[in-house]
Amino acid sequence: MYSDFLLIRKMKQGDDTSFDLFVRKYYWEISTYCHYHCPDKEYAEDLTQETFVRFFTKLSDYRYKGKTLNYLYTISSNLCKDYFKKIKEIPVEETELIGEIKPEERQMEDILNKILMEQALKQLPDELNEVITLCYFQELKLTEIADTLQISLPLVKYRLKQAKVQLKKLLRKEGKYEFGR
Amino acid sequence: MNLEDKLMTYKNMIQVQPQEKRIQETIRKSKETFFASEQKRILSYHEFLWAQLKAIQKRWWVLQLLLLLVLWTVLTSAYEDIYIKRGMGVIASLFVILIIPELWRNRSCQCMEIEAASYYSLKQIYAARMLLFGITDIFLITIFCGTASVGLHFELSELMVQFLFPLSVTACICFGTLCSKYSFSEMMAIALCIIWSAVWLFIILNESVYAMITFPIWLSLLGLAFTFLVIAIYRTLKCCNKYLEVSFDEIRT
Repeated sequence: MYSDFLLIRKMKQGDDTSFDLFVRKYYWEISTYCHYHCPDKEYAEDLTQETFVRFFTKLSDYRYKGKTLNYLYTISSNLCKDYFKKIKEIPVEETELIGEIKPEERQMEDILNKILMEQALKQLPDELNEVITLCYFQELKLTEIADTLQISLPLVKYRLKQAKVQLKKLLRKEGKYEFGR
Repeated sequence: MNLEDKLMTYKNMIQVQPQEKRIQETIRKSKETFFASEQKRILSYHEFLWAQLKAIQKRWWVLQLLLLLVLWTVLTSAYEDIYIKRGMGVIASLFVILIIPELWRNRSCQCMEIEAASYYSLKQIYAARMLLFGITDIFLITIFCGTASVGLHFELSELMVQFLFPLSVTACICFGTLCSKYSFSEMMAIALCIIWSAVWLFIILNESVYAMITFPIWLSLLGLAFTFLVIAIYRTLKCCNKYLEVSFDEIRT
């Protein structure tokens, strides 16, 4: 497996195979990240594609510093923020969620958990949601999150703590709301 | 179920299976975007100069600055000694000698062919380096002459004769050697500069010879030196490609 440094160098020289290797190497991570931020699967795929396109537009100016994935996450994060700005006003289509529910009890609980979690994550402030996604879903280290978001490590820790507190509150609130309905 | 478990369950439920079709499409679009942006991208002169500035070793400028500081200290400590004042020419020669390694670097590192095949021509690379050295050296010399004139009450004519003239002649020797039809090494240029320093020292310290040369003669000599310097720089830029092992047009990719 080529290191990022070599891949980037080869891509800058226009080597065809290296483009293929590079995109395949990070496609899953970026795609997953976009899926966590964007419930619309098609749109999440488009965001993934756009992330790579943006990266390659500025590839000539890109200087490898050993954190290419973090850079991709940063691009992706900005694109997701733009997406959020667009859809902030549009309410969630409940029919879409109901369609996924299956009769088994265990699955019911998981589905319910998923719905509640999605709702709670949506209500979290963007910067807290970002930290939770990177930490729990993308499984980045705290230092890597700090690099990706270009913030200090103590601030990452603070946001993570705040995110957990707020998420717990929101889940309790959402749970009561759902069951009370 | 605690928060961590809930988050893990949620994570497991969102399983993403990338579609091969979308991956292929992303790769294709990525390539297209990269090549399209590369076609638009042209290195500006500003960027080119900046790149050359980064390539030049800064130690020579630091040494030049140190040399001027040494000269300043010597002049301040021996203000009344006329011979030390006249000895400024030797320091002026050394000042120019310090740019020799950078000017000869392309030849001594055998990288002429590579640079000739690069985006910018050798002529442009040499021009950029000379421009950068010119800007820095003129800045340093202006500061030095200005402060020497104000602080040490040197007359401008004196500075011109005892510092700028030997400096210009040394620069002429350097560029003349660089653009000569024979391929001289930097050692030859340094040797010629040192010989010139010795000659200059002989002229300047010999009172009878020094007294014979009047100010208009110095001025004419300085004018001549400047003219020769301009011609030498022009020739260097014009002939810089001829040092290649094969002529420029015969380089095949």
